[in-house]
Amino acid sequence: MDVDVELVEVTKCFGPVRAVDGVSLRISRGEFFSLLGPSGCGKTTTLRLIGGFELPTSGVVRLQGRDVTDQPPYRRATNMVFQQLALFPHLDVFENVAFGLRLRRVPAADVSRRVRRVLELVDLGGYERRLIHQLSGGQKQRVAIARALVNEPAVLLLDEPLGSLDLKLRLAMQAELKALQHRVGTTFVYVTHDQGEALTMSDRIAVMRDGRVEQVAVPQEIYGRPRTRFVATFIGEANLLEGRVLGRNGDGLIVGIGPFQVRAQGRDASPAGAAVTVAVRPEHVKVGTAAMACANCWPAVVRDLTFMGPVVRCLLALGEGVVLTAELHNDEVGDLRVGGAVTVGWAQQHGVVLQE
Amino acid sequence: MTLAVPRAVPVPRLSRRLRARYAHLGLVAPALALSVAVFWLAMLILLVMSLYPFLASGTPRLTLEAWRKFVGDGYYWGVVGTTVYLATLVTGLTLVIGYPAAYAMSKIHRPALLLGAYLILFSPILVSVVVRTYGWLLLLGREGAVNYLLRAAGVITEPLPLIFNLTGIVIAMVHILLPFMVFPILGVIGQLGPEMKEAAMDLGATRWQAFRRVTLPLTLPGVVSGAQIVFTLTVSAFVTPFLMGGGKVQVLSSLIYRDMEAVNLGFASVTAFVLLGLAVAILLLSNRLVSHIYARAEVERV
Repeated sequence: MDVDVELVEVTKCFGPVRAVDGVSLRISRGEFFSLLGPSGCGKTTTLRLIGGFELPTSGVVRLQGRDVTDQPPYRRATNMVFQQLALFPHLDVFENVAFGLRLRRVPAADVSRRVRRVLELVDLGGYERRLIHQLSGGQKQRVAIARALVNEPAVLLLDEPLGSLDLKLRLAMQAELKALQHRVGTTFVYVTHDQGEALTMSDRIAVMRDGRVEQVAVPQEIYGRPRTRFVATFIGEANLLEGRVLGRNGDGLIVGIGPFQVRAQGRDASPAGAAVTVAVRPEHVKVGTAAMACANCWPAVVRDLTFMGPVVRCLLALGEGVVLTAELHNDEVGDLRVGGAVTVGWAQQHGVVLQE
Repeated sequence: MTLAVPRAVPVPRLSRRLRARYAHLGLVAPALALSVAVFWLAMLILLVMSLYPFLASGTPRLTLEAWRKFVGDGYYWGVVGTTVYLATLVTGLTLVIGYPAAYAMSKIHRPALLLGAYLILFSPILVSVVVRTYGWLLLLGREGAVNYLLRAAGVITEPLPLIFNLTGIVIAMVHILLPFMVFPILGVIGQLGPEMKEAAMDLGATRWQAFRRVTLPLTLPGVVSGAQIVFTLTVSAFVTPFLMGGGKVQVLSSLIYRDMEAVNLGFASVTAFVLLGLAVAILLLSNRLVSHIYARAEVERV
C-alpha cells in the first residue's frame, strides 16, 4: 500500500522541552489516521511538523515518498484545517474557498466550478456570497474544510476541528467528516484529545504521551489490547491488577495477583517472576452464572452499586485488597445488593498484560 | 377623623426608563458644553468675521471680498497645494516607516523588550514640539551634525540645504507624527493571530503573498485611522512648518498667523475655513475609501 506520510525518528525541541520525541509513523493513502492524547502530548506539534509549520530539530518527514523535511507549508501537498479555523474575515465564503486556487493561478472558470463543487460536497451550496461572521459554528467548520479540500491535497491535516462545537453538533460533524473522507478518499490526519471521537472516526490511532507514541493500532486493538498502562487508562477505563508472572498456559500467561492465579493474554513472553500489570475493562467483568463459564472466576462481596441509567457500576471485593469495578447492564444486576456474596469472572482474552 | 396613610408613590415606569436612557447625557454635558461654546460658537464668529471686514471703514457691511480674494488669487491656491503636498508626503512617509515598525513590535513577546520599544517610540511625545523642532534645526543646519557627518564621510562636499525648506519640515514632521501612525496600526495587528498568516501559507501563499492578501487588508482599518490622524495634524500644524520653513515655505497655518499679525481678521478667517474644509474633506474621503473596501466584507470581531 502506498505510504502518504512518513515520519522517521522526528524530534522537535522548544528550548529545553522535547515536544515531539523520536516519533516514527507511516500513514497509508486514504487512511483516516488520528493522533490522540492529552493536551501537551505533542500531537498538534506532530501535525504542524507534517504541515511544515514547524521544522523538526532532527528526523525526516516524507510526503508520498518525497523528503519535505525543510520545505515550507506552501511547497507541501498538505492542507490544514486549523483549530481556530482561521477563515479570512475580509473575504466571503467563495473567496475563502477560492484562495488557494487563485494563488495557483487556476483559470477563473475552473475556480468557479471547483469552488461550487466542493461547497456542494460540504452541503453549503448557495452560501457563496455569505460573509464569514454570518455563518454558524458548524457552517464555518465546513467552510474551513472546503477551503482545504478544494486544493485536492494529498493529505488533509485537521487540528481538533470540532473542539469549539457543542456536543450535539460535534457528533453530527463526526459522522459527516467520516462520510466525507470516504467520498473523497483523501488521507486524513486528525488530531484530537477526545478518545470517543478517535475511536469512532479513525482507521488507525496513534496514542501519544509526552512527545512519544505509545501505541499505533486500529481502534479495536487500541481498546481491546492496550499496550501500556497509559493507553489502557486514557482510552476507556480499566481495572489494573498488579502481580507476577507465574508461567505460561497455551497462548496465555498465568499471573499471580495476591493469592489469585489469573489467566491473561500477553503480547510477548514475559519471564516467570516478572512484575506485570493486568488490565480488565469494567464491562468485561461478569457476575453470577455468566462469570462461572469464565477462565477467571472467584467469589466476591458487593461493596457498592451505582445506578447510571443503562449500566450499573459495581464495586466487587475479592479479598486480599483486590477490588474490581464492573459495569453491568441494568438487566444483569438481578438480586445484587451491597454486602451480598457473588461470583465474579472474566474471560482470558479480556485480561491484558501491559508492558511497563 | 382618619389619617390618610401616606403611601410611597411609585416612580412611573416610563420616567424611570427615560432617566436610565438619558443618564449618560450628564457625563457628556461638560464636553458637549465646551465643544459648543468654544468651537461651534467660535466658528460662527469666524464666519461672521470673514463676511464683515470691519475696522477698515468704520461701518461694517456684508461683503464677499475676502472670499473672492482667496479664490481668485493663484498664490493662495499655491499655498493650499503646498499644504496638501506636505501632508500627503508626511502621511506617506510615516506610513512607510511606521507600518514595518508596528509589524515588528507586534512580534515582540518579551515584556522587557516590548516596554523598551514603546519607550523609544513614544517618549518623544513627552517633549514639547517647539523643543523637538529646535533640535532638528540644530541637527539639520549648515553646520549641524547631519551635514558634518555627511561631509566627514565624503558623501558631499557642500552642506545640503536641509532647513528653511520643505525637506526640513517633512523630516521634522515625520519624526513628530510617527507615533500617531504606529499606534493605531499596532492595535489592529495585535488583534491578528499568527494563524491567519499560517492559513494563507498553508493554501500556497508565500510570505509576501500572505502579507499582501491577508495581513494587509485586515490591518487596513488601522492604516486608515493612522493616516487620518497624521494628515489632519499635518495640515493644521503650525510650529514645525513655521520654524523649519524659516518663513520661506508658506502653508495655510502660517498664512493665518501672518494675517492675524497684520490684523487682517477677515482674510485669516477665510483661510481658517479652507483649512477646516481640507481636513473634513480628507476625513470623508478616507472614510468612503474604507467603506468601499469593506463594502463586501466587514471585519469580524471575534
